[in-house]
Amino acid sequence: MIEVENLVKRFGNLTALKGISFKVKRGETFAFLGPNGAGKTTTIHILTTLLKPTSGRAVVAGYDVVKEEKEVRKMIGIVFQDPSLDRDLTAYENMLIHAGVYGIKNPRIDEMLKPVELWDIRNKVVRFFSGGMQRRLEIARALLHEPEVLFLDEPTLGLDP
Amino acid sequence: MINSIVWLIFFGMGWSGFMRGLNYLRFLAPGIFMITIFSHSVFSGISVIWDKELGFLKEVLVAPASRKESIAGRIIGDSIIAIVQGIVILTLSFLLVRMNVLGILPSIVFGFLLAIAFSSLGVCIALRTRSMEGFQMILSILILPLIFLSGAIFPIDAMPSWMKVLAYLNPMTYAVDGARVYLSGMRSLPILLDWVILSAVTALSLGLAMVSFERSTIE
Amino acid sequence: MDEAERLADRVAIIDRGKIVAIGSVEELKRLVGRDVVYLKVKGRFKGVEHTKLPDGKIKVDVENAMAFIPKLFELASKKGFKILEIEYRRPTLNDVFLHLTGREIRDERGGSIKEIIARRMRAFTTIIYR
Ligand SMILES: Nc1ncnc2c1ncn2[C@@H]1O[C@H](COP(=O)(O)OP(=O)(O)O)[C@@H](O)[C@H]1O
Ligand SMILES: [Mg+2]
Repeated sequence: MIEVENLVKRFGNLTALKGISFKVKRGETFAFLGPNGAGKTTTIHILTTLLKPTSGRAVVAGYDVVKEEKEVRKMIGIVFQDPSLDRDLTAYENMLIHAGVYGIKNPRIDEMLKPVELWDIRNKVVRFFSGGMQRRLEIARALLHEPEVLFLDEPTLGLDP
Repeated sequence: MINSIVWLIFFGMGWSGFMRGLNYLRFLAPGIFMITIFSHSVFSGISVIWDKELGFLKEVLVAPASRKESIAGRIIGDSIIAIVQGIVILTLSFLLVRMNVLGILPSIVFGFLLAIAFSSLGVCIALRTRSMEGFQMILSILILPLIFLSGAIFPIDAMPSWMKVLAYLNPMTYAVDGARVYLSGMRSLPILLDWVILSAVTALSLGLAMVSFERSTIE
Repeated sequence: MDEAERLADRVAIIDRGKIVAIGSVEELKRLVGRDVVYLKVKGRFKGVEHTKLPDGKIKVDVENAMAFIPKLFELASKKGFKILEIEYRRPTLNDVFLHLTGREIRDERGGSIKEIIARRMRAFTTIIYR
């Protein structure tokens, strides 16, 4: 269950979220649509425990994002709006590090990289990847630990057509 | 590290000739050892800033792995690199001046404590800084005063009393004094005090860095 | 935009830190109103309220184009006209956003309000609960 109740977030004197509420059921795909600066990324960051709400409550996969942040982190995968890869490492090494911090013993990196057509270039350093290739790597990485909830913040941004 | 060698050879040997009675190089060498470790370790926050600017920090922060362990690992790793650099300088010092070989091990322990203390403080500063420029500016303001106020280059006893107060507030003072006791047999503070204060400050700053990282958001 | 419509079971329209509407794409579009069906026929079109356009096409406002089109074929065989072309347009989520906020977005790059919103709303953010 994802349940968001009256979420408010202030940055100094700017109120980025003015009381947001919604629910997402298991099996559902839920989209936010709104112009730049509407508060989409802020909402996602609160739900993924990276920002603390000023007030309000949010439960993700049954866990409170403030009080049970560690549990929430285990359940979620996220593709950020902006790049979050280690650019000095190869695609494969980025996947390995992810497997490490998520405690995956036998990561199925090949199964993740093949569908996004990155398996053949897995040993290339990410710095030399196009925007679209980096994006696809981030999506593969977000799925590696088989999250219950997947957050995609503007996933089509920079994706090659 | 090149800087440390320059200090040791030119500054150390130059002043030694001037101060004939006292063996200045013997006084300076433990100080340069600590300066080397200090100047590497305060910059260990840079990797945090780097990750912040390139976005990789978000990937670390959103993961379920223990944040405290991951930052402690980074701090200890950086401290080991700092110590290795210190050991190179110390080896060089032994070629230039006669010091107590049995003092090496305790001095390295002092150096390691110092490295952890300042790596931790560097990380704390980095977590509160938005940009690389800001971080480097804060450090450039701090580094020289901390070096001059540590007794590494000139003795604390000779300082005016207001400066002494500042020197005693500087954790590096106790590391320099400890290493000097063990390596050169020169003493200005009780060695037990050096151990207690440096260990306490190190534990405190490491704890602070771990808690800061645990609580950090991307705001 | 297109992706959001295709993938999302439900969409929240968010503006200035507030959710202004929430529901399935169909539900949201219904907030704006009707679908429009454009027809080209041979013979005399009758049986439904319509407008003749200057280019000879016929415009029909309906509640739901998908439900209307099958009825149209029945009508054609009953009233004896032949359908040459069917085209329909549904309101886009851009139309929904404009309808809900009623806001004029000024943009130095110019263009119609719809174009500007389309440009600025290309982005969508998704939660997939598996
Ligand atoms: N860390 C921050 N500090 C201050 N203001 C911020 C911060 N992050 C976002 N904002 C502001 O909050 C508002 C919402 O931003 P955001 O959630 O990124 O919107 P969206 O993702 O919908 O484009 C914007 O006005 C933005 O400038
Ligand atoms: Mg955004």
